Amino acid sequence: MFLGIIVLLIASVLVFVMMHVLPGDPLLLFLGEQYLSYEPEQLDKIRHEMGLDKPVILQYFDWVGGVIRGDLGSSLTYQTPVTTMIKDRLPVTLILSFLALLVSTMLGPTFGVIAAIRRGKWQDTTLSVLANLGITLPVFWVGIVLLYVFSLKLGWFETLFTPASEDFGKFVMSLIMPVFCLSLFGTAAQTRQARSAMLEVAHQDYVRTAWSKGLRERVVVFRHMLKNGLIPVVTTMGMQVSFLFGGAVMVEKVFNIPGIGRMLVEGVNAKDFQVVQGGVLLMAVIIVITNLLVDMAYAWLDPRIRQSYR
Amino acid sequence: MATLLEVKNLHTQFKTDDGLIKAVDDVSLSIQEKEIVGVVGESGCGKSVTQLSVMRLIRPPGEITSGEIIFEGDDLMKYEANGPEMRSVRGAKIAMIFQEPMTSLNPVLTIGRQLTEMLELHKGMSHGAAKKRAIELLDMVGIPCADTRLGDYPHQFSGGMRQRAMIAMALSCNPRLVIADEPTTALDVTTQAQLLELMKAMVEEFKSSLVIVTHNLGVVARYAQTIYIMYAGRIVESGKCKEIFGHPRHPYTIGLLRCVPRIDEEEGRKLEAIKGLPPHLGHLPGQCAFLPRCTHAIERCRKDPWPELRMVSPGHHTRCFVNPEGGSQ
Amino acid sequence: MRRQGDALATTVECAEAIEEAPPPRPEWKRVVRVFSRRKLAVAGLVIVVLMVLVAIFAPLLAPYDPYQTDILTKLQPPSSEHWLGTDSVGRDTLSRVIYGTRISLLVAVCAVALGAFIGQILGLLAGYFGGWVYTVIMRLIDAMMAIPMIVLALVISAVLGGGVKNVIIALAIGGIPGQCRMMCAQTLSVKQNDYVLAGRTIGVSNLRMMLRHIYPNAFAPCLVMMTIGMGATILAEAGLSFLGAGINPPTAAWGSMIDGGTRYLLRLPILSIAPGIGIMLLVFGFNMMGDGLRDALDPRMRGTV
Repeated sequence: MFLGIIVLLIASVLVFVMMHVLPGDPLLLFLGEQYLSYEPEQLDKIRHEMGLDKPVILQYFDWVGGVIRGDLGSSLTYQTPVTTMIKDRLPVTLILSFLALLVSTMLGPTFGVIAAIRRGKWQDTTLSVLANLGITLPVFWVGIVLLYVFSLKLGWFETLFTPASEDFGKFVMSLIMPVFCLSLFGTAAQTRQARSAMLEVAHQDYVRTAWSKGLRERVVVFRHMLKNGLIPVVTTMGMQVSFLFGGAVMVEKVFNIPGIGRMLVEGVNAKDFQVVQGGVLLMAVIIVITNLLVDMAYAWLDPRIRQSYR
Repeated sequence: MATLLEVKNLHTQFKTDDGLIKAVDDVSLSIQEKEIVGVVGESGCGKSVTQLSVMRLIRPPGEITSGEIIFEGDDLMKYEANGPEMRSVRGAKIAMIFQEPMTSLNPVLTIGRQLTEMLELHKGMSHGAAKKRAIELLDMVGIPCADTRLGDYPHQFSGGMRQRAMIAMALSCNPRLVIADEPTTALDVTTQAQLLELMKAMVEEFKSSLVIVTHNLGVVARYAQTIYIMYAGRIVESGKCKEIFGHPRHPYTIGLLRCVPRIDEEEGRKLEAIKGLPPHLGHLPGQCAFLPRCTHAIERCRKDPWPELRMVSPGHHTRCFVNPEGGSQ
Repeated sequence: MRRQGDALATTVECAEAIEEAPPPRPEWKRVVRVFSRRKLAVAGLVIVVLMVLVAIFAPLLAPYDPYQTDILTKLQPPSSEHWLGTDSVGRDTLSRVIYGTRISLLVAVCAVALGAFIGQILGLLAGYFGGWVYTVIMRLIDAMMAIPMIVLALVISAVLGGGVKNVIIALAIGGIPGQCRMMCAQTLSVKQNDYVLAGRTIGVSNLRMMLRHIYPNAFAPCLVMMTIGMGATILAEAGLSFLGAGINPPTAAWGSMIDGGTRYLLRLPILSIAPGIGIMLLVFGFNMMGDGLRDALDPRMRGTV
């Protein structure tokens, strides 16, 4: 846990440094067109008020101090506190990502196990081909194709996103395509991984021992192989979340979903550094927490690791 | 005594990137009830694959291409490899003890579970009854505090104890035949001795037969009644223990015996190794595979294909043209 | 190098042995043989080679100049003159797709190579020296990995401005953590070998040890990662361009082409679909190659296809 905090600190430094290395004057955004009408001294005054003239290191500590107090600064573009923006947009992204994670975690390993125990047969071939295909598809491109086919051509789905507050039914409908898109890569990747892990386990000595005891295939697979094979699947869960956030950024753009991903992209394009810092930090926090949970799950699965925690 | 297992002309092959490997080439064995049989040979000679073939545990790219495996009068080859008949034989009638106890036990299941599952499956015991019996078995093989040990995982046992647990597992369903594949190779010498004594005592108690697969002649000398010596996938000599040790007929056996240091020999005798290396099983010549390393070879060995097994005295067979004790065979 | 009967080999003999025997590398002939048995892997290699050829000979293959606009023929559907139609300012889609291979390959190769170079050096150092070097480097890597690769690349790319060079830098940085971790893990494992210990006892310098003895043995899985990383990088570059932070028009990059096509999706879907197919092909090729390479380099290959 202590490690996680250190990691977050370093990440925060990274992102802060990145944003403050940028060329261009943030005041330009802040003031918009009126920028040109200001005298340099007035600009300096505003800069001073905003604390932008302090050395970068001090600015960083100011920001960290703010974070600990729960204040992530204000967006230059929207003039609203970043925390408010996050509060508005985080739920959608979380729902989207969680659903996609659920789908890929349930389907991926299942397909992978099926493909492994029916190795070489039609189930394996079909699933493997589909999985191999799934990891080559660009997330946003799939979204566009889906939009084209199902929204524009067939009219099954709306192109516009409906927030939950307006119409819950439509909200759910409008989530179907994005979730599908987002879960595609994860499912395919996990299918491949689970398959290869199970095949690896199948060659282990203890599986041979299990066969030599005269146990049925079902028992050998579920009692002896599964737990061992799924350990690597659990370990990559942290990376899954990372990929999901990356995918969410794109899916939110394609499907026009007002989530954290969109916020980040807009912030980056507008050089709205408070927003970007806040957004990235948020993602980093979630990922670090996920990794922590993964470590705990890993210890539960593998009794050898459990020992070292006693 | 009745014949428990009769293997006739077994052939097992593996298709690999390096070619077709004939791991088991025309092997025939015979195991009586309550007998202890030793199968001896270097690494890669096919002794382990033979045992796995008997249990029908060979999977692609390996395949049993021909032969009969007659167990208690029934040819096991006519059953499906994973069908209900074979499954009722494995574990219940023929059980196997493997070489590496660390990797042969499932790391994420408790020792108790790995024992009780056999009892529940083959003996139809309830979970509670199986646990009781499991504790008894662990006790029998000399594991202290068996009742608490039941909930432990393999990595919490020492190497010797793991192997004892494997022995308990193998014997749990009173099998007629126990196959021990290099059971003590991975352990230190003291533990080796203890475990071998344990196995002998157990099979006597359960009235089972035992096959010990090993490369260690000392082990078979002490325990086995019948010995089979394998080389390059074939049996090159077989017979009763005393015969083989007293009158070895195959140059390979003689070479093996010379490798073993003996406490009763003259000082200063050099340990003689058999020069050369075992052949690659994918590139076997037509003649005797031992030829490059043989010190007794004659002209005929170079020209003729590998000899068949011939009887040189009652119960004693060998696969050689030459009689090292003089005279022809 | 033990001779029977010699209980102790002298230090000199050890030293000679280390100097004359090259560190064991994967037997490349065997690797090639196993690789060529996997049909998918060979197919992947063929695809990649073809795409590289397309990229090299793009000027010869493309029917039109990808930058040439012609407002009069804008948004044409596929026809015999323009096999894939034209885009919103009249540029030939097919030519742009063909030229797109150049960008994708160039960016991917440079980014992966750069990322691998830096990542592997860091990983080698971290694994070899251990201690605080390891801690510092690994914490840095952990921090980088806490940020999704796309987001990291997005921010860096936006900060530096778009364009090919900056995208390469951004994606290279995104690729560092993976390579670093892999190389570090491999180094730690190779370090256990006896020949490393032997080298230390006779005073082989650190640099020589790392370069000559550890690196060649640790390299193989990193190579697999690099190949599969090509696919991920191509997807990432496309994603960046799609988001507007990557390579923008008029340069013919597949990602921005897809983005540009969204406005005309109902009317002319081919604008967005065609570049996507290009991406898929290239990524597929690299992924299959990577899989094949991984199986071929696996020392425990069980002889099955």
